[in-house]
Amino acid sequence: MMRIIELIVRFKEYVVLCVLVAMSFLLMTFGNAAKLRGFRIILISGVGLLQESLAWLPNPLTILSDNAALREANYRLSREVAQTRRAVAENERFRSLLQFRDSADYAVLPARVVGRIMDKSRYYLTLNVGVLDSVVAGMPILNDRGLVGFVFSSARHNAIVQTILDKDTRIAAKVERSRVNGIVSWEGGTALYLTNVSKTEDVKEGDVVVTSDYSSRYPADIIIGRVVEKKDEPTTLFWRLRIEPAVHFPSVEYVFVGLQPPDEERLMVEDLLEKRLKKGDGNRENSTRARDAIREANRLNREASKEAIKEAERQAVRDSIKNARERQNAPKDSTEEN
Amino acid sequence: MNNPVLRYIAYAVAALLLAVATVVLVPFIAIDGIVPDVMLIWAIWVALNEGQMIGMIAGFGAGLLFDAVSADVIGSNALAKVIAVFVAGYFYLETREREMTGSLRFPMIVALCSALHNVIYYFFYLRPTEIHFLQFFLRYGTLTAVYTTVLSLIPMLSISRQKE
Repeated sequence: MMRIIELIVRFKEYVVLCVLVAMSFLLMTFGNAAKLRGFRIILISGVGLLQESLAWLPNPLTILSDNAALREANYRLSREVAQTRRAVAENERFRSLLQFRDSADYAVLPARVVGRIMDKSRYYLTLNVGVLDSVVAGMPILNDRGLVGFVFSSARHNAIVQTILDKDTRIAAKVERSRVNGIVSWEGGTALYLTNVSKTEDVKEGDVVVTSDYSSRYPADIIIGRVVEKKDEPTTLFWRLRIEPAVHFPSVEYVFVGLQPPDEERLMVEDLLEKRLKKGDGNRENSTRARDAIREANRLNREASKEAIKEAERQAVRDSIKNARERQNAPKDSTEEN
Repeated sequence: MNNPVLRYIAYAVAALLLAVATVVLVPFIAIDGIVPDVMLIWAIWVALNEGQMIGMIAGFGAGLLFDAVSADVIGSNALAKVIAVFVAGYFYLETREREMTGSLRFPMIVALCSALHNVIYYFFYLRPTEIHFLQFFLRYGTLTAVYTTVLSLIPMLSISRQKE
């Protein structure tokens, strides 16, 4: 026994080491006991309180990294806010588009603007719909705000839209309030003009201008814009009425195609008349042919033979389309090349 | 302080204060998440002044205290510190304590013991995980040892000045 005690005293450091190591292992194994856990909770709570009381102290070594992290977070949050704003705006736009589609009394096809072609005197849009979606040349294009233009040409999957901001724009229109008729045309920039409105007619600034029932290309009562300026030019008998388009063209992203092709016959006759007025006697051969076709259709109508009327109408349409194609051959070719 | 009881009480109070400082103030001097082991410096100091056995008990107590306040596995720091201080105890020279703590030998002993401490501590710390031990030790163990060594220069310089 004495020898054992002697040995322990002699190697007391090693004995203490062994005891402490064994105690450490025991604590590591059973340290999670309920009693110890309670003690630790008290200790950690105390430390937490201390840390909280010193939380106001700035840590100079982490200020720079904190700053960088905060800047990064700020940038990320700013981007998220911008994205959210965009999403809200898009949501509102879609809602108004849906409302418009539901309220339209004619079939419409939604389409997305996938491209824009602009030059000094033209403003074209490219849509993601085409012939395969039953979109053909001449169909009106509109959105929830108003009139956009018409389908200028159509390919299998895409269509080109000629907007109303075009030098060739001539739209039969009327002032919504007073039902005064006129013709909307474009003279450059983003403004349109309502012409042929006599100074005796009732037109005010702020009046809404819509498409007229006389329009051969567009459905009636589609908003074109609002009168923003009424000028009295002493040299003419007409008002000079500047219209701000209802559609904001640079931001147009979604539109509707009115799935009703224009009345080809009517278009052709009007075109011929316009040509004739411009060129005097104009293309006599074409106008004679068209006139004959219409006369034939009227004659058959008088005979009250439905079958004959249909056939004559078909013939008239065929003739008129043929004429129109002949007339449009040159510009169509150039469009296809584009 | 010639009275050993008073000396031990002073050591205990210092240990308590250092334990609190470790969890409350040391994070303020952390560099990229690396913090010095103040409690180990203190335990080695005790070992070099009081001998291996007292040092081991101090190391064990310091380790337990640290485990308790740092929400670590109880016993892991105690084990690492006991073994590290046991090694430090071999450098104890009776009657020449100040020579050891007031010279560059002190930070060297701290560096050696700190490295050993971190090997043992991270071995148990990483055992339940799939983290690669060597990689983790080289990243945190060595840097912690270096930072602890640098901090141990403060008591060394203090004693060195007192000697002069």
